Amino acid sequence: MRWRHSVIWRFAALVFLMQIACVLLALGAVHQFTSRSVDQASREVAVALRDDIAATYAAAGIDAAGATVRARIAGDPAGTSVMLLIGPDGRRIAGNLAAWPAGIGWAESWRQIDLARSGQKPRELQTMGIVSTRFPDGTRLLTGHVVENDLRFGGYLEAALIGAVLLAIPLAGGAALLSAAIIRGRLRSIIDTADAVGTGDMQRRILLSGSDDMFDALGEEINAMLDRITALVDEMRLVTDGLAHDLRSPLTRMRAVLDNALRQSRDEEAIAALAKALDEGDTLLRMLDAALLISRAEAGIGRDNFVAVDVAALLRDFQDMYGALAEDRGVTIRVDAADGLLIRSHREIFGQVLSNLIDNALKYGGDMITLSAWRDGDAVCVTVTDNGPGIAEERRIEALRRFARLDASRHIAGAGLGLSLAAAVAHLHGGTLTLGDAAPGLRVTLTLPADTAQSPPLA
Amino acid sequence: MSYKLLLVEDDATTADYIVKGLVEEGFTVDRADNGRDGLFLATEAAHDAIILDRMLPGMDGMAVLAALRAAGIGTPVIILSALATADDRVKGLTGGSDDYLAKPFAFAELLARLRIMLRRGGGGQAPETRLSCADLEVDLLSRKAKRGGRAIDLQPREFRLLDYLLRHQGEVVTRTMLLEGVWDYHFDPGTNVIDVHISRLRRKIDEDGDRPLIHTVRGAGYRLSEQG
Repeated sequence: MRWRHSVIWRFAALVFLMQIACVLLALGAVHQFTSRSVDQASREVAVALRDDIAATYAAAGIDAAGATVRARIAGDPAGTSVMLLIGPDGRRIAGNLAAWPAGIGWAESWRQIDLARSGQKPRELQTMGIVSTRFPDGTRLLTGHVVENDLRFGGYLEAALIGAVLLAIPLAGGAALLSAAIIRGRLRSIIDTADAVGTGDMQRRILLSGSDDMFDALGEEINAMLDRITALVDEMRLVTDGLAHDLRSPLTRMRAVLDNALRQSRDEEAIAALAKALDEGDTLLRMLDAALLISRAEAGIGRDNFVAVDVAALLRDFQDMYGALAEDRGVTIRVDAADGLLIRSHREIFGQVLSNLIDNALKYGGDMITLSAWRDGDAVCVTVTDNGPGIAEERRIEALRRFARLDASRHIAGAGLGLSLAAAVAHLHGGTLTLGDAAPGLRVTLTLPADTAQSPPLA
Repeated sequence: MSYKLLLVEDDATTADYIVKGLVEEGFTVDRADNGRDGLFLATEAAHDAIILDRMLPGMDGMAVLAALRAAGIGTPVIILSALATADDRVKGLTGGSDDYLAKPFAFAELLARLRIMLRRGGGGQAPETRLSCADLEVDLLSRKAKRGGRAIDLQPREFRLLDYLLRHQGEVVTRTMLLEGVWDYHFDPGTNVIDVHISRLRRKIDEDGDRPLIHTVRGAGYRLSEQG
């Protein structure tokens, strides 16, 4: 299967990609939102702290601000606040940092930096967010908030998000496969029905789900089409039966009259003429039979009586039946077929086809006719090959037409229905007929479905 | 003893033709031109065989046959029918008939089949192990044939052909009967494949014999018998 072009594959891929895109989008948004709001909250804490101390400084001076800083540090048992107040002379007034950290300017609005706070045991670096302010007299204030825990939380969140994406991939894949399977299932029932009807079960119809969806609409249309085909086939059966009867009755009477006349006639010339008329009547009948058989086979009539037939046994029967005739004409018939090749067929109809093909090979072929059969996957190939002049490639399609005969002079007797009958019967079996070049000669190949049911052959 | 037959056929020309031929052959024939009368006649009087058309006004031939068999009447029946496909034939034979002949038919074919049916009906056949005709002898067990004490070498198919002819000796067997009886096929071989087999057999049987045993019956088929 060219999966790139498979609609179901594309559909499944689309479902999968959409699902993954949705998950990524949602998780991305969550990630963005949480990391930003955590950051925002820390900054707000730091800014509020700064504003508070700045207000105290403005109102009561640097000592009061220092006292506030100390009070704040003392009142922060969780130890997430960072503060440092430096006097205009560069002296450290209060705070839990040993010194103004290197690389931090006088007016940072929000910086993240790894620092060690004093009074922390053990002294270790922590990530914190920092704002800094410089008052007009040179006093500098730094406030901040330890964000390490928040970052750690963010890390957990990220891990959780990646986990969610990883989980979403198989789920989305499952959803894609499931939806593809649902469509495939609905289509499968349509295909199965078409297949069953194609192989002769004319009564089979597509089961509708009752949901009135597009599949039901398709099923309804196909069912209506099948009803019409069934009606046409039934009509065809009636017409061919009627035609057979209506043409056979006058032929029967004609034969009766001619036969009576033949028996009473004493005139040699009349006897010859009557015998000739009888012969022509038989030819007419033969053509009628073949034409009717072709029509019925093309309409699929007769499949219901198919049984398992052993192809090799059939070919050997025909080798035996035609062998003597062929030998008289200097032709050898060979059989090259493995035992146990079974097809579902009608022995008489298939026999008629073989008889026609061998007859053709005797008329138009060379001195060797090969009947062979072999298994090719789910099919059984049956060939009738001669080593005569064959049929030129551009004339092969013409040769399969009804009443087609390639010898313009028509000096060899035959109704010209043999090959088209064989093709029609191949179709009746759900198979095909192909004409090939045996170099030299004509190779007629019937490719027929093998009988896979292990029923014993009746042939 | 003359055989009494019943012909059920609605087509007057065909019926006349059959009756005329049968009477010439020494049969007594009752006739009916519809299914109901046919069934009535068949149940009323004893016949040796019934020739039954399949498509009849009033009552279909297959229905007549089914009614006959249901009534326990086992008279051999040969169906004559314009329905000539392989399926129709199978349906006819499984429907209880003893033979099935498609229209149009040669009278000789009908006659040959009738005679074989009548002989079959006239007493059970003991399984034979030895068949003979004049100085021709065939041992079915050892599958050996002899003519006037001289062994004849036969191919298996030739042996079956001779076997079939011997079992029907004195009777006309047609080409289609041979195709059915020896090869078990019933289709129309365009070229007459049977004639070649017969002429080969004839060469082996009759070439060195005092007189020919296999005779060609014009317009009908072959007959194996002492008299020409």
